[in-house]
Amino acid sequence: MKKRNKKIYIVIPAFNEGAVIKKTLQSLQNSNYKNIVVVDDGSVDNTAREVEAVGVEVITHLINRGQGAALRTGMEYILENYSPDIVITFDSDGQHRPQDIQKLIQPLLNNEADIVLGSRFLKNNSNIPFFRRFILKAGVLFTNFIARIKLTDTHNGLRALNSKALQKIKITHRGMEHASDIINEITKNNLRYREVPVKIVYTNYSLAKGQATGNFIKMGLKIILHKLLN
Amino acid sequence: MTIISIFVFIFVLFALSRVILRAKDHSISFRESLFWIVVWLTIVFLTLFPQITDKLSAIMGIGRGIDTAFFLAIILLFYIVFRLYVKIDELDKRLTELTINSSKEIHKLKRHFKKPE
Repeated sequence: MKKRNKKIYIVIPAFNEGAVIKKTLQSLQNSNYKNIVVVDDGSVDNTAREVEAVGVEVITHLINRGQGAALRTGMEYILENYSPDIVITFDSDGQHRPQDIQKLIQPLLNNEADIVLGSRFLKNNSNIPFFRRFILKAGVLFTNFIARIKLTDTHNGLRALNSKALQKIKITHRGMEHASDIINEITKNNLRYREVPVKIVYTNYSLAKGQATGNFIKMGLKIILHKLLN
Repeated sequence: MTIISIFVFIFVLFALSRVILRAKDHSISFRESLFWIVVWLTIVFLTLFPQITDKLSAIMGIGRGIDTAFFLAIILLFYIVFRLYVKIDELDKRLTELTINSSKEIHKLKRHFKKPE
């Protein structure tokens, strides 16, 4: 089916991204993606105002609850109000490129997958700093082991979901661990998945805003504890 | 009575007063206050009659009476920490639900009132 017949929505969680969010949104609008929902996760800067300035819908969390919760808000809101065919999750900090979206949705349009995950490791074209690469690879090994799945990049915020995946996937962690939740839900619900190579643009801004290394260890422990207690 | 037992006794009196105050202003339930009163009274009792712990340790197969008291105290602490963990986790989840649902509702209302423009 053609892309123009499909209702494609983009959900962007954002926390204190006032400096870059406008640019990210404009790049999407210039690529003709108009259905965008930003979830402002309790930012204390001008994120919400910047989003409204470019005419994009913004839902505001009263307090900061983490990226997982923000994604849930956006995904649930789109599902409840717009009956979407495809929902894209996209980062607010300018790490993702709008031109990768087409590659991401193609397997969904061809009905070959329910969820498509962007991978920065399929083609080595992202300038990933050495230490970040090491941590990410450890995260991939860990998540693959827990979810009994084989992926090359498990913590990439660029994904495309069809309405089936959107309805089935339940995000339980409110923080960054939601990436592992999504992977777990793929195996749990027998969703068809596909990875496509995408480029992640690392800037000093995104690296400074990104995950601190200690957080990855904390995230791993949280996931293990959650597994043990549930 | 040793000096340490006097210290323990004074501390327990303080702790008990806190429990009673909390129970009075209803910030803890009757059952919870009863639980804490029993815990603190047991500690006073064991401080006043330490020989009881010796009997208990003989039954449990632990060398000294004081070791039994420590052993039981640690188990109790673990249990309390676990309960706190579960409670905080539950509160955290409820806070997330509240944030997600309220933000969606507020947004829908905002959209509704913006429409006539």
